[in-house]
Amino acid sequence: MEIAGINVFYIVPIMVFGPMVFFVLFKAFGIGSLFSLSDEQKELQRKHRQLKSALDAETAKSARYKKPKLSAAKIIGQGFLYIPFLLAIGYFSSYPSYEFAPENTAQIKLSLTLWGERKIPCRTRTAEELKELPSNMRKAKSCSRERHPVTVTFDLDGKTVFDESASPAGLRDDGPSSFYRTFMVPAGNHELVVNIYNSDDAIPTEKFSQVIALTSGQAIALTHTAGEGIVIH
Amino acid sequence: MIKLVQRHLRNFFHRIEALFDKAFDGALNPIRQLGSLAFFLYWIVAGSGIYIYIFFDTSVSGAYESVEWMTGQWYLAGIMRSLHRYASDAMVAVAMVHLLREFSYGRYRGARWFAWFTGIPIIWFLFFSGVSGYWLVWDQLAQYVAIGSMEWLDWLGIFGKQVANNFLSPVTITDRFFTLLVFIHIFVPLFLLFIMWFHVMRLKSPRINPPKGLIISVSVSLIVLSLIYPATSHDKADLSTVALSLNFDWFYLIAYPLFDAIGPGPMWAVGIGATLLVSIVPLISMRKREPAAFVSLEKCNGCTRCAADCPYDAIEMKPRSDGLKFDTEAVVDASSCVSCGICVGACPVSTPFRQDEEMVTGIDMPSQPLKDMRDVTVEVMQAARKEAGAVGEGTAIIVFGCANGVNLEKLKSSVNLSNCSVAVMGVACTGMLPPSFIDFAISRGEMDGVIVTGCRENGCYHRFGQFWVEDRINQLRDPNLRKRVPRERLRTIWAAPTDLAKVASEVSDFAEGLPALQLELQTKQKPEANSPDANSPDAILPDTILDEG
Repeated sequence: MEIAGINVFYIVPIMVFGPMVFFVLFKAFGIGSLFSLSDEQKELQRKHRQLKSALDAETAKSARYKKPKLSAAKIIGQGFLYIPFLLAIGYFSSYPSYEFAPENTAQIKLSLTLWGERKIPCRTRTAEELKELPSNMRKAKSCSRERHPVTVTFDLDGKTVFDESASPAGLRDDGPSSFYRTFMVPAGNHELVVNIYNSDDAIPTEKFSQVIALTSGQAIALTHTAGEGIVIH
Repeated sequence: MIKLVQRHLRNFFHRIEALFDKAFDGALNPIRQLGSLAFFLYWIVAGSGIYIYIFFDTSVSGAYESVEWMTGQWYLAGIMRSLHRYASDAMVAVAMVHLLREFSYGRYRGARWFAWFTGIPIIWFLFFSGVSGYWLVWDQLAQYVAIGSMEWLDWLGIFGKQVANNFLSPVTITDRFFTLLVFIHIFVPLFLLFIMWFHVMRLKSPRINPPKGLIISVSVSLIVLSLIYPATSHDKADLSTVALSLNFDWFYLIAYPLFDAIGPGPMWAVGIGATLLVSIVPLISMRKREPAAFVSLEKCNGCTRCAADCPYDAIEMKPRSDGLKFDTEAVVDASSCVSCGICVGACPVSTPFRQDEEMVTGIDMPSQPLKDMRDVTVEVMQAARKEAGAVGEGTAIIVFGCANGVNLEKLKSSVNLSNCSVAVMGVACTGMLPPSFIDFAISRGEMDGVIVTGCRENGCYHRFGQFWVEDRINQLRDPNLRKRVPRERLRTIWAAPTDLAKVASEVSDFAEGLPALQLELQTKQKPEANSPDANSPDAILPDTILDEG
């Protein structure tokens, strides 16, 4: 998104940091005093500066502001003490490498968002029922909000590696059930079988089966869309 | 158990600080400037971040290329990128050492609980800021970190839809979602700054800027590191692949391998558990809180010195409530008072040169009232004088020491000098010692010398106590040490408990030099024999508090 040809994401930080920069320029660096002031104001400022410098001079004598005694040897010593600090910062900002998974491994992600069946199936309202309802609520179908939990099983090369049920989202149990799991598998051919049970029935509502060849470092995701069923990305 | 860990950690820090003192000369010692260094590093990160943001492309397709372009411009944008990373890393390191140091010194007790407690969200926000920055590079590491972070957040089940689903495949990540990540990386650090301000708001004159010398050396060091070893990226993120090996930034990403090993639920348990554990440290190792300072209005003339010297802003000057002619009176906020006693040392009424039995002063500590201080001081001085023999025969010195410096009893037994006796007197902080006590020790206590010892230079446990002592002695801060006190008879030694041998040696050297000094002083004073100063201190010090003003 652009405003007057400038990307909005350049404008936001200017709006955020701009006032800070102005504040620093005006207050800390005294840019504001460059603007013309009345003689009286200038005189006041002069007196203020005088008093402040006298106070600063007095304060500067305090042990709190004692200037450090530095010598060439000390500066060299500081250099030596900075070396391990810099080595540590530089090294641990990139090393040692982290082995997330061994070589010749691929990743399969199961990410499914599924709607369970309604606990009470929808039914068609009778003409009398519709008549009793306010005109803006006269829907032909009456449906319960609550849905069944959904169960998903995932078989990888004939072995069940995932078998979980998920409750519907929402305070009224009227949202979808979500599943998310990552599996690291050796590269090569794999048979993937997914069964979805969106009601109490023992027979899966949907079944997906496919053999897929995975190369080292490849990542695939199994997702579900209402029209297409399970899709591999 | 905690005490044991603290003791070992504290000794470790004392030794490291001693090493750094050799090169950094006290005020510049970075170990004593960790908090202000963290602030400074924040500004480096913010400044370099604003610069690289100008050239950063906020789209998924262009982000990586824009970062690579910056990396390629090694002389400017590349340095800025590296500075952004290394200063962020250094900030984590500095913040963690700061936390450990404050823990080891027990700087979370009493009124200091606020700074400790507000420091905990700083850690969370610091990590969140850094991690969100890693997303934006949009390389393989960014991909790993972004997915891991989202999976961790998704476990909470508060987003309705899985946020990690945005990273399932190259088609699921959108520019709009990516710009959300950019916003997070801008606003989380701003929030971090807000909490950092909260963290120090109860401190008086908090050190949020390190000394100039340290600013220069840290900046130069980070620029040198950026030039020698510039920050680089991995290959561009590709959601159809998974990176099996990653060059990791262990400062920010240390939790991710653990997350991979134990999963999101246990990781939340670890994070929340660690937070709770750190939060309750002040409760676990709670000591009985010393009672707060109290004001005796009949002796308070509203001079404001106690309020000016209090390092914790625990004293406020309010309109007079007792009808006396003064404008203001000191009022102590007990919840902010750490009972350091610095206010007692600042009060001009706190003088031992008085005869009244009660020794009421303007502001006093219930745990160690001024009267007790004088009585104990007199008692130990008398014992030392008796042991040393009459004035001129043996040397007697008194050491005033703070609770966080060397152990005074150990120091006493470590000074083995024939014909010299050492009296020791402990106070909570050397700033608690009214300078008139030094005068009193020499003029009334017949001490040949006085030593004031406390925490290492610039490392005062109570922040300013040591500075105020020096300034009072050097007549830069009220109440001043009177001019008539021979400064040759006075020495300040700033040292940690681990420096016992060094302090004992300095005390011995000082004491050995004193007899000659005494003769010299007697010679010097002869021409003034008729002046009141040369006579008995009693003659010139009427027992009124006004005499000390």
